[in-house]
Amino acid sequence: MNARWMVLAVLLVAGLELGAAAQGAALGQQVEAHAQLEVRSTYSMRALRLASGTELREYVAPSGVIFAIAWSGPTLPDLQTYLGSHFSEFQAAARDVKRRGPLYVHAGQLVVENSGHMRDFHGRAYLEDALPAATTAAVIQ
Amino acid sequence: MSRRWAWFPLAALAVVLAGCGGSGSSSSSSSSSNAKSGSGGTPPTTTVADLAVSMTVDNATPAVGGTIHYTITAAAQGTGASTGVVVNSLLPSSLTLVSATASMGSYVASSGVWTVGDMPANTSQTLVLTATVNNNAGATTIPNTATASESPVDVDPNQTNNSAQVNVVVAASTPPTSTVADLAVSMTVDNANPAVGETIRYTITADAKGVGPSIGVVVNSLLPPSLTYVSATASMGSYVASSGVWTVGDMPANTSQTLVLAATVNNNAGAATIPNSATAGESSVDVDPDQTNNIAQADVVVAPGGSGIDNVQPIFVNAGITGNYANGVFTSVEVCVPGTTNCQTIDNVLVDTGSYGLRLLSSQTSGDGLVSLPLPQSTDGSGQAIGECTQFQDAYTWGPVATADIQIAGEKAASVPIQILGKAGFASAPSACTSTGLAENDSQSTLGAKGVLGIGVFRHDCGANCTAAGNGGSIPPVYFSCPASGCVATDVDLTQQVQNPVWLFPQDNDGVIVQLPAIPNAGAVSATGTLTFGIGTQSNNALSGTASVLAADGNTGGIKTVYQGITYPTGTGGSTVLDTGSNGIFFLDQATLNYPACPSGYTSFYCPAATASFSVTNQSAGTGTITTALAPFSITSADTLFGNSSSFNVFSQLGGPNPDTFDFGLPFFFGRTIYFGINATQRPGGLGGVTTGPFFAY
Repeated sequence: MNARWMVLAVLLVAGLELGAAAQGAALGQQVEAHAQLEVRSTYSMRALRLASGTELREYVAPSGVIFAIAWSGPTLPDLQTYLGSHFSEFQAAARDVKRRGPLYVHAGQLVVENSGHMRDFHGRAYLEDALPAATTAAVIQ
Repeated sequence: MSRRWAWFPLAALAVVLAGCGGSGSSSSSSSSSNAKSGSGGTPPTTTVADLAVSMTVDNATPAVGGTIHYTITAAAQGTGASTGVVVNSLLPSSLTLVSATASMGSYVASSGVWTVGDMPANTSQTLVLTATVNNNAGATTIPNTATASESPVDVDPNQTNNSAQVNVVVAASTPPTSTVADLAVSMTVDNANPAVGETIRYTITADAKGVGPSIGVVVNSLLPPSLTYVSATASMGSYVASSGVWTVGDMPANTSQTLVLAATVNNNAGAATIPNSATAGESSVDVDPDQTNNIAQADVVVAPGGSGIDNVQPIFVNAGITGNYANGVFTSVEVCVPGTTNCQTIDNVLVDTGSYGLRLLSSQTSGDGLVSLPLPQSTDGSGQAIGECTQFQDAYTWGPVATADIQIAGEKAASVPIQILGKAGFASAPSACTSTGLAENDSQSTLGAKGVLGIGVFRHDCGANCTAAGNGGSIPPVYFSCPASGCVATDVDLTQQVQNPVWLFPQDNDGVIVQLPAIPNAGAVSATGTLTFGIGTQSNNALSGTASVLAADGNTGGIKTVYQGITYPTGTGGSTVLDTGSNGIFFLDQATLNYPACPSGYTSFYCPAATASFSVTNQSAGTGTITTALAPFSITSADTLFGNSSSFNVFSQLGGPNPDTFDFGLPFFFGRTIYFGINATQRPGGLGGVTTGPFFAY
């Protein structure tokens, strides 16, 4: 969630270099195939550390589409970039007059959740209709 | 019968009884005269009765508890018979009658009357009284008398021999001093009413008081938990603080040795009585016949009050300024331009144990009750204004950092960096801030309050991660330097970060206590509780003896929660918080609550078909000793709760889904007293085993 986190130095866990997702791809967009940290049968996950100290995990379908992100660390990531065209939809849905607590946006296909407090946030964002076949949201954590 | 007889010393007893029939007695005494009948010079009549009585005792120096036998003899000494003979001999109160054996007649113990009857001339009758010496008779002389009479009285011309007395002298009840050892210990303290943090000194003295030496002397005096050991100085031998054992060694008779123990009164000991004792022993305890002087105690009562400053602030749970805030807890805060009396009291400030530092909405229009003081803007090394993007879990707040003097209850903190929200004319939030989500600072309606008072377990809101030294050059998007060209992320030293004002109070600064009353399950219109500053610093803020202290992770300020066999978070650290700023208990439960909860209506809350109870345990984080505290709670359908009454704004069973962590919001606080220990506050001796914050306790 830096001013332009695409220009920040980013460290890829296990030393791998980031691909397209780190340069501004949003949920639902195609990213280029590249080295992946962890490959599962239905998706791949890459973890990287933002300049803020937050760990960000990207979930990419076999099709190359990034379908989810998850984070944990002292600050939030750049949700505007990751949510892309869904960001305004997210902002509109995030206003909850009754609930005062962890962020819990379930608006149509869009899910954005964030919990914690200063210095320690945990969250995830995904599009339900972008989940690969045989993949549930439970893997996004 | 008279007791007005001279009491004879034991060695001076003499057998002078006229016509004495006593035999084998070790001592006896008699009436004052041995005059025989006719001694008066008057010729005796032919047949005249002369009754006489004598008395002996078999042991004139009994011990307490000993048994003695009085022998009382009535003798008809005249030429005629004695008729209607009666002897009075009531045992004194120092003796207890065991038995009475009479050769003739009967003895009534209660009256002491021995009814003998008619006695022919030159006959005698005997009564033996068996008695024990009572415990309270030690070292006393016990007189006992017997008085004889006949009827008619005037037939006995010689009344001088009608009474007899015998004394016994009871030995002292305690045995005489022997040549054995007698170890004794005494204990004093130099200040019986110390204040928290003060050092007190116990002086423990071991005395070898016996005629013989005391061998292998050991004194046990372990400091109680409310005290922290400082030093021990012994005139002989050595003291081990961990065990409390002072090994003195051999002590010649009539010598003494001294140990001085210095200790400080712990923070959690406010207004408590602290007992402390010393117990002395010898290598063979049975050589010490007097064990009553082998233990000594010296208590101190910790002075209440400390500073005496008012450290209790009322807090209110109600609908807030929006009129529909559920489970919002608010209080008022006075802020002043630093060093001046230009002050403003802001009410309806949200009390938030999940954040750190004061944030106030800036006044938009005159009289709106928001802060309008000319508070000095904080600037960076280049003189540029400092702004902050403060991230909360559901939104961010943006605005400049300024300094203010803060007063809450009687507690004052000077020149505290705070955040001003929505300040007109200040730079707009940079994209690095706005890209994180939703702004929560645009109005009272969205914030639901006039500000946020963050009083959680950290001193600073960002901490080392926002300092140049702590982040290694990777600047997080929290603090910004804001020249006219636009705001850019910057490092900010701890001293310039927005800070929890509590730790800047001169006293009562080690933490806070939040106390809220229990409320009905269906909900309530409002509730009033207290926010108390300091833990163990005054008489009103000691840690409850039933509270468990849960150390929080030093980086995240969170603890762990165990639910259905799973520990959250699964890895290291801690993510659970006890958070007055959240209005529900938010956690993931797929088994009971049919996550994701309410299918319609309040879809961000849980709506179980019936109230569901949860058995959850909170657990300390970090690598130290694991401590736990049960955290049971119940969840009732939000649709039901919000529908109970339009006037209800306070709910103890409100909860909602949260996939990653446990967030114990305000419902958890009702009916509980919860302590928040601020980081880096050292606690000598510890509080429930925790020597420094951050911690939670309840």
